[in-house]
Amino acid sequence: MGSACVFDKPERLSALSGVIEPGTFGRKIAGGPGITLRERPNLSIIQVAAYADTAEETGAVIQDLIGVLPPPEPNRSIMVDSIQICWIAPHKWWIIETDQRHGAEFIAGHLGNGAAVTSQGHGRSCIRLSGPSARDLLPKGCTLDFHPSRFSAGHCAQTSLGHSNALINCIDDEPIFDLYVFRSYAVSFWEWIADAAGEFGYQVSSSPEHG
Amino acid sequence: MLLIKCPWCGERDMVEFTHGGDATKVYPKDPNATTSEEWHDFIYLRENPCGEHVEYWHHVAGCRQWLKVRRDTTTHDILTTAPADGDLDT
Repeated sequence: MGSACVFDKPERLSALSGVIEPGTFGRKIAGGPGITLRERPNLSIIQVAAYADTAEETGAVIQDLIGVLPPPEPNRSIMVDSIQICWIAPHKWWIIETDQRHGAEFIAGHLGNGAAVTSQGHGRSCIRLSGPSARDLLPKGCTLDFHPSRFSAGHCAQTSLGHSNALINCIDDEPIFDLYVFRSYAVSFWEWIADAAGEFGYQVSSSPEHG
Repeated sequence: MLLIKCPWCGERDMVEFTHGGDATKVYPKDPNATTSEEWHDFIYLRENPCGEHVEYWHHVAGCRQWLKVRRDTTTHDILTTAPADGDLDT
């Protein structure tokens, strides 16, 4: 754990703890389930909101700290060493990690007054969606175009998904999507996605303690 | 369904947006010199145009930015959009 970690205590408990059950569910599909779901619990999500005139220097500081420039282009994401950086608004990003290497306080300390840094990890739940039918599942609850030519690795979007506000980040063309929803909606969202996945057959894999 | 072009996110379905009211009203330049009638007009009185209208919309389920939208109230065509502090093409 890094020295700037403020999340050691109390022990974090996922909103989906006791709700997600590993196994195979829904329709039996020859060749295996079309959908794989698992939770990515206990993430660190750090929101960095710069001002228009500090966006460039903020990006440079983040690049120094993490090794990659946060995407200036809307609805793009980048991944390095399992850290995801997603554009979420003009000169505003989420830095998502499976541990607290960088931590909100650590990043805030380097950014000074050029940006507002807020920890969002405790307020969100993340479900990783993959499998050959993943691109067919998302449009059941969302109006975006998920054709690979329009939404592929490195694309992210905030939108309405299954009646919840969600951030969708495509991290691999396999495809793999990470879905971030409000923690208090996590159970409702899980029920929606499990129901929507039924027709494709889905497996739920157990979650690692981190990420 | 309306497709509204967010200046940042591109065309998105209207379910991602909330309507933010008339964007033609301008806050009084000098509040202290503004009469009650002018305040009443600014706060309460709205045109109900048949045709083109300029409105604020909020991309609340997306990037959460405010934008200006020129919309035809009879056809629901979205004609142009811009950031809330920007200018719509005329």
